[in-house]
Amino acid sequence: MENNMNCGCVQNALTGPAAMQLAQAGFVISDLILYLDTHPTDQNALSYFAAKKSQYEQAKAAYVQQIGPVRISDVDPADGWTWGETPWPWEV
Amino acid sequence: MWSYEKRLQYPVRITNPNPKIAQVILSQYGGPDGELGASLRYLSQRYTMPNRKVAGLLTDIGTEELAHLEMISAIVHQLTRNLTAEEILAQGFQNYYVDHTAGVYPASAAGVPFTAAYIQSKGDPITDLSEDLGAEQKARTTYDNILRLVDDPDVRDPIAFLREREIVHYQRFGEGLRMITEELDAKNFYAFNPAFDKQAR
Repeated sequence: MENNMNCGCVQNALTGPAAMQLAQAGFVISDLILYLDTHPTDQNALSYFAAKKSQYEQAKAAYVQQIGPVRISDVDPADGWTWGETPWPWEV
Repeated sequence: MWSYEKRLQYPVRITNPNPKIAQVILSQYGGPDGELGASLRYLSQRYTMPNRKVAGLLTDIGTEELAHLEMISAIVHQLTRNLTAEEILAQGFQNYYVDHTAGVYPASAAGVPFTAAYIQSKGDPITDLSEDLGAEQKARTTYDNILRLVDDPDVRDPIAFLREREIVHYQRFGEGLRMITEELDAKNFYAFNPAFDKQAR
């Protein structure tokens, strides 16, 4: 693992603006799905889920475009195997 | 099956190593009330949960606990970087270090390796959900204990987040228990085990 990566690169990938938008959008969904598991007929929650899902997809698309893949299915083979090239989430 | 997202549920960025605290926090990785036990417990219990919505809850909370396991290991890893022999000895980290160097290994703060004896999957919905309620409070208390010992805001921040999640999980499991009992004989919840018996005995 390259510990001597440009520090700005690791920080931007893990805590920069695109990363934070993705983390926030993703977390709202993680929390909301638990609520929906025990309140599956709550219409307000279902509409909120629809809105947040689309927000998450946008945040993820922006992250993938600016930084790199979030899921392995985001890897575009035309760019090479980028999966292992971008910082891992536990790096500093 | 599981899909992986290359991000932490909540960011972890710790600039000051501290192996003494890392060893304490390790209990939330492989200790009795840690995230490894939590994820294994819920993911194991879901198969015999006859109520599909509650099986969904166990799946989703179990999956979230895997993400928490990842955060705890990131915290421990970042706290044990760039250590010198002097620091290891001064901070009392030598016993863990000798067996694992700075590797992340599932054990408790006291060095007891993780065991499935920490969890139960009893195949009875009321029992399993009651176990889960207890597990979430045990984890919450452990995070409270960690927070008393830690001053570094970089460490306190993700730990406080994880503590909050335990409280939310406790709430959800309580709702799950209510959902289960609402399907049972109101005069006798224990008439039969809906995960095993075909009908009331």
